[in-house]
Amino acid sequence: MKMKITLVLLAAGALCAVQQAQAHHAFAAEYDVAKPVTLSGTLTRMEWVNPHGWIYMDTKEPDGTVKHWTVETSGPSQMSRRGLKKTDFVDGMPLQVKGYQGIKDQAHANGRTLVLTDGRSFYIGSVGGPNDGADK
Amino acid sequence: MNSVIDPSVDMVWNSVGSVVDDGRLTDRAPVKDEDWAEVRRHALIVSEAANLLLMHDRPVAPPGAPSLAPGVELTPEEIRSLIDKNPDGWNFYVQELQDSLKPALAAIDAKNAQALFDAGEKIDTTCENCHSTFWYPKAVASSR
Repeated sequence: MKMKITLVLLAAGALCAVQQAQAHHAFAAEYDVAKPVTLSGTLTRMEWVNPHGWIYMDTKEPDGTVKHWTVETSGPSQMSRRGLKKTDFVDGMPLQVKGYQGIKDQAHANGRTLVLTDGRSFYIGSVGGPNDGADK
Repeated sequence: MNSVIDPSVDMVWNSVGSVVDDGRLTDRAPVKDEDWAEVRRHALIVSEAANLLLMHDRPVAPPGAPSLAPGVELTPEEIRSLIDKNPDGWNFYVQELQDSLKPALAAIDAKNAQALFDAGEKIDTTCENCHSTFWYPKAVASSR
């Protein structure tokens, strides 16, 4: 019985191996609309999961150091309907993200627009974001 | 919400998805029967927790709990007041929550990972609709 419980817990652990904190907070509780950011860098990881996708990217700072960003996106089904696919992402690819910086975590952002190197641009904003026209 | 619904619905959401990392795209889904049973258990926890939300005068948070984002998200007392002013609206969203789990449970019973993934959006939309009405209505108003 103990072995069975352990196996189930391991299975559950494997399922949850990729997890972001996903409490549903208001946009303004987590992100600063007074701090828009434009991030140009390379993709290190993409999580195509509900309720929000996550882009992990590195940017080079003016002093030459590398900053590791975590960018929240809208849900994957919403992005799919706008033409963005999970197969559009390859780690190491250059990309540009426009969005808003996190209030508590300065390397955290909410993405509004994603621009790929082939020129395609996608709205990736979540519900409740500012009315900044990014979704037009 | 923090102790029962949130961790369980996260488990349901995270049971299916894809990750781009280490030079490859990896799809993730329950494989074994016990994996599916575990996801089903968490989906049922969320569905049945909706019944707890219908309990009259149930506190929305422990006494004295603060707003997690003052000025943006309401205090538990303010949330309780909104619920009391609009019980039909509250009951509607609670029912929506329970209904939103039905496609997920059907997908789990069919062991259909894509259907479970698709059902995740409906659950999220239901959560957001209720939260924007009873938890952070000011934030929604200011974003329009």
